[in-house]
Amino acid sequence: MNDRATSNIPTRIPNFRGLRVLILHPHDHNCNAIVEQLGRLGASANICWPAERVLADAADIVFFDVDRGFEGMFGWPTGKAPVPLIAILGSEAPGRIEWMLAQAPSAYLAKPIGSTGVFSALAIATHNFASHSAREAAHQRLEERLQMRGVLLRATIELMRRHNIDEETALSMLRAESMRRRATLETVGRWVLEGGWLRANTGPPLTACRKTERRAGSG
Amino acid sequence: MFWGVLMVAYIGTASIPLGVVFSLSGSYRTVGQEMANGALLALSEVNESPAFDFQFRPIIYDAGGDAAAYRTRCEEILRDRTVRHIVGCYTSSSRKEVIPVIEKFDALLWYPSHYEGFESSRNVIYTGAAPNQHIVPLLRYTLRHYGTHVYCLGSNYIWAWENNRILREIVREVGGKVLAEKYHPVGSTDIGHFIREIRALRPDFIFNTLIGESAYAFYRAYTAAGADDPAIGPARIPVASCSLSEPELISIGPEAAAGHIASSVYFQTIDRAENHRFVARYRERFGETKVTSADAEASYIAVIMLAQAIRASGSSDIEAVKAALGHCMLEAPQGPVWIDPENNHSYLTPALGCSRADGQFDILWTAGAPVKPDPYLVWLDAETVADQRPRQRANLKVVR
Repeated sequence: MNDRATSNIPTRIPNFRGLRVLILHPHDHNCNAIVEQLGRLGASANICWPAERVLADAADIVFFDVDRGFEGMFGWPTGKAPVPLIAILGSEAPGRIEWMLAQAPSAYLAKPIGSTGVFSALAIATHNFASHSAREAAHQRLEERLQMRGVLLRATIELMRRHNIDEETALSMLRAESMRRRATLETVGRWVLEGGWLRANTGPPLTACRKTERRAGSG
Repeated sequence: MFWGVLMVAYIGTASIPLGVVFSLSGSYRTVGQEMANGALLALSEVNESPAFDFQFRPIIYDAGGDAAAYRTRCEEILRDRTVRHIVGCYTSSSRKEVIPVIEKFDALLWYPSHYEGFESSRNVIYTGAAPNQHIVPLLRYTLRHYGTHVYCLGSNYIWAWENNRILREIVREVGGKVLAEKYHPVGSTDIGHFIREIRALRPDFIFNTLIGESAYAFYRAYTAAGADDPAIGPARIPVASCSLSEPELISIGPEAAAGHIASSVYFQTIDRAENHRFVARYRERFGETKVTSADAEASYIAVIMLAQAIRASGSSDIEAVKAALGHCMLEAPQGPVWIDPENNHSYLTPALGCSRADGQFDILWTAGAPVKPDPYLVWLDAETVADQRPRQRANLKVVR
C-alpha cells in the first residue's frame, strides 16, 4: 500500500488550448506530426520555413529545427528567447548539440516525432521557462542589491564622518529617510553620496532600528 | 472430403488475420474474458454475414494479466507481417507496453477499454471512453448529489493515479477536499484497513479505481461493514467508479452488488433494439447466464468497425482502414458510435448507473447523444457546473 501526500502534488492539468505555436521547421512528416498533436491539444500552429531573424511577437512558444538551424535564425540575441523554445533534434553531431544548447531551449523533442512527446515537451518547456525566468529575476534583484551594498556602506561612513556619529545612528538616519521618502535604503544612500543631506536622527529608537537594519542589510 | 469443404469456404473470400490479446486468466480475467467474448462475437457475425466478402481469422493469446506478456505476444503476432490488426489490452500498463511494438511494425491496435486519456497514438483506435466521457460526468453527479469530501482508493498504477489527478483538480476547483488517496497493489485483497479509515474519515463518497479482485474484495468488505455500522456502507457513503461492470457485479456476489455508482458508456439495461439483439446473441453464444458489459461492447464495436472499414476501403492496410473509418458510423448497442479522425478516439454516449443486487444497473442519467472524445481534457473548463452544485463555492467548468 502506498499513500500519496496529496498536498505536495501540483493539481493543475496542463492545458494548451489557444496556445499559439510557431514552428521553424521544413514541411515534412515530422512537422506534420507536431501540427497534428498540437491540433489535438487545442493549440494553433504557424509553420515558418525558411526562417530568418524570426520574432516571436505572435507566438507563445517556438519549436525549432536543430538539424538545419543556423546563426541568424532568431531575431533575438542568442540564448535570450522571449518565449519558451523547444528544440527538435535529429542529428546528434556535437556541433549541432552545441548550437542548440547556445539557444537555451526549455525542452527537447527527438526525431522522428511520433504520437508521444509533444504534450510533455510543451509541459516541460512552459515549466522550465517559467522557473528559469523567475530565477533570472531573483538573480537580477540580488545582483542589484549586492552592488548597492557598497553604496550603503559608503553612505553610512559618510554620515558618520559628517555628523560625527556612530554606525548605528548613521544607519538609523538612512532608515528613517528611506521610510519617509518611501525609497529603498540604497537609493537614499546614493543620494547621500551625491551630496544630499539628511535631517538629524528622527527615526525610531535605536533598538528597534537594529533589527530592521540587519534585515535590510542582509536582504 | 472435410478439407475439400474447407477449401471451398475460403475460395473467393479473403482471410484476414486478426490478433486477439486479452487476459483470459489472472486477477482481472473477469473483464478480459468479456472483452475477448465481445471481439469473438463480432468476429463470427462478420464471418457469417454475406455483407462482408472476407473472413477474419483470429489469433488468440492469453496475456494472463502480465503487462510484459502483452508485449511479447503482440510481437509474436506481428512478426508474421500479414497481421495488421490486433484487438486487445485492458489495463493502461499493458497498452503502454504494446504501443511501441505496434508502432514499430506500423500495425493498428484496437483498444477497447475506457482509460485515463492523455494519449493519442496514430497506431491505436480507442473504442472505450476517454476521461471526458467517464470521470467528468461521474464527478458532476457525485459532487452535486453527495458532497465534495472524497476518499480515493485505487490499484497502484496509471489508471488510478491519473483519474485521481483529474479528480483532485476538479474537487479543488469546487472547494472540496480529497480526504485521502490510497493505493493498493493490483490483485491484493487485503483491504480491511481502508474500511477502518473510511469509518474514521466519513467522506461524502468514495472514488474507487481498484480493479479486478481487489475491487470485488473491497465492495464485499465495505457492504458488510455497512451492515454493522449504519454510518458507512453503500446506502450512506456510496462508492463511485468508472469501471464497474455487470460481470463484475456477479463476481462480487448478490450480497454486495447493490447500490454502487458506475460511469459507463454501456449498460446491459439500455433499452434499444440494437442492444436487445446484442444481449440475445451474446447469451446465445456464451450461455444463458452471461451478461454483457461496456468492455464486451467496446471490443465488439472495435471488430465491427474494423470490418466496416475494411469493406469500405477494400483493404486491410492500416492507412486505408483509418481513412475509411472517417466515413463509418455504427448503430452500436449503446447508441450511434463513430471514430473522431482528429484523435482516433470514439464518439460515445456517457451514462451513469446504480447497481442492483441482481447484477444489473438502473440508469441514473444519460448524456442522450454521443459526446466528442477529449482525451487531453482540452475542453474541461468549457461549461460550468457551478449551478449544479448547491454546496460549493468555486466555479468549476466542465464539459461533457
